[in-house]
Amino acid sequence: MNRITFYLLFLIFLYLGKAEKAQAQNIHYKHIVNASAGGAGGYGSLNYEGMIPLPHLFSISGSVGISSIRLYDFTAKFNPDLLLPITINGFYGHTHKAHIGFGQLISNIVRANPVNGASDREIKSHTHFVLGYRYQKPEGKLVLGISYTPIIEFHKALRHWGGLTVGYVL
Amino acid sequence: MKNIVFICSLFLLFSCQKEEFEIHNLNGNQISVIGHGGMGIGHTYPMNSLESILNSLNLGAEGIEMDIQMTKDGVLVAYHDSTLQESTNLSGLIHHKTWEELKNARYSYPHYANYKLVRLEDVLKSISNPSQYIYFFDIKGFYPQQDSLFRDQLIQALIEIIDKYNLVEKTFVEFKNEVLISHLYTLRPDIKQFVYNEFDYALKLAIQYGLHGITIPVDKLTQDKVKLAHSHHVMVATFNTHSSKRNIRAVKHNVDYIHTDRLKHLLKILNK
Repeated sequence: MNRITFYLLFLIFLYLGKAEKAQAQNIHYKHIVNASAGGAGGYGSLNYEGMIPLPHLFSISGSVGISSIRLYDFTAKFNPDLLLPITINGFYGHTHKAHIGFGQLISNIVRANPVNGASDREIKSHTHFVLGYRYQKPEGKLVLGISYTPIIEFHKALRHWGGLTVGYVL
Repeated sequence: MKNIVFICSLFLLFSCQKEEFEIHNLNGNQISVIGHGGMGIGHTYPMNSLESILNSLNLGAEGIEMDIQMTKDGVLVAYHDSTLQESTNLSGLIHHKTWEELKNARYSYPHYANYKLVRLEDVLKSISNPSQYIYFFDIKGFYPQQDSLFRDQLIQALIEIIDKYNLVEKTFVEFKNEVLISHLYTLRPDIKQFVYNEFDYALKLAIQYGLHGITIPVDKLTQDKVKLAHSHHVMVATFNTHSSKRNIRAVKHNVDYIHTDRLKHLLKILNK
């Protein structure tokens, strides 16, 4: 859990620090909502992303998302699994951007207890990386992306994975 | 305009009517709905995981089909594939490992889920009042050497668990191998067996040993074959029903048990 706390605090400080700096320098801070098919969220996720332009065509962003595997558990009751991907991203480029990133995903999954068959929730964390391409005009609203997103499940098992993203700048 | 609306309404009314099936079989003219490894192939719960099995029973399945393999130390485990690497984070054969080595094995899909491999005993322990359900134990034959020691151990482990949970009346053991069929039949003729093999060979064995039934994939069945088996008082179970069409085809064949991959659909069309 310490690892998760570290990433959360890192993201918050990054956001606060950069937002403050951006405001002082009158930099246009971007709020983006996007939907991913595949990607760090597993089958897909809905995400919020805060993006800060930096000098020399660089920009950075932090994103948090939400996803699920199932909404109804094995007892047929509404009891969703929750997946929360948290990612720190770096970009280089004007409209066509190279994209790298890394992050943690917190999973909260409903499982059957093998002793009595009752439903239990299990919280775990996992690491993911992002290597991809993003199309985003500096003043445009549309965001499109494709990425290779390897996942290290339970910080042990590497799984090759990828994703497509469509987003909108608010 | 009124006529068009009337015709459309009639069309909608008739297209929404459910197909009624007239079942004639050896199972009291009813088809029992069995969850194939629980929720079946292609579901978000891996086949034979505890979650998949409990989910199918909670949704109304009348029983479950489980794939059974035995570990090196004689523990019965619910697992479908020949090797562990096909569906879990481990590699090798179940029979080459002890339960201690397997107990932390988890299914590879879906992502992040951590669904674990389970013992048959864990499944039965987790089901409240297990004797209310039907069980098909599909005994997998992935072992490189099936010597008499192995056969004794496997049959003994099966008998022990069936007796422990008082499931003789509710359990069907499925074998492909005649030696195992004969072995179990000799020791415990009261334990019901299904033969899972090519139709002609399976029917021959079922008649020869007076077994309860045969298990045949739906794409290898016809109504005539089912009728032939029934005429010899041999029941028919089928599987590979991973679409609605295949569920309906299995029902129209008048089989006795369907190990379905589309559980909700089958329950719906049979009004269960």
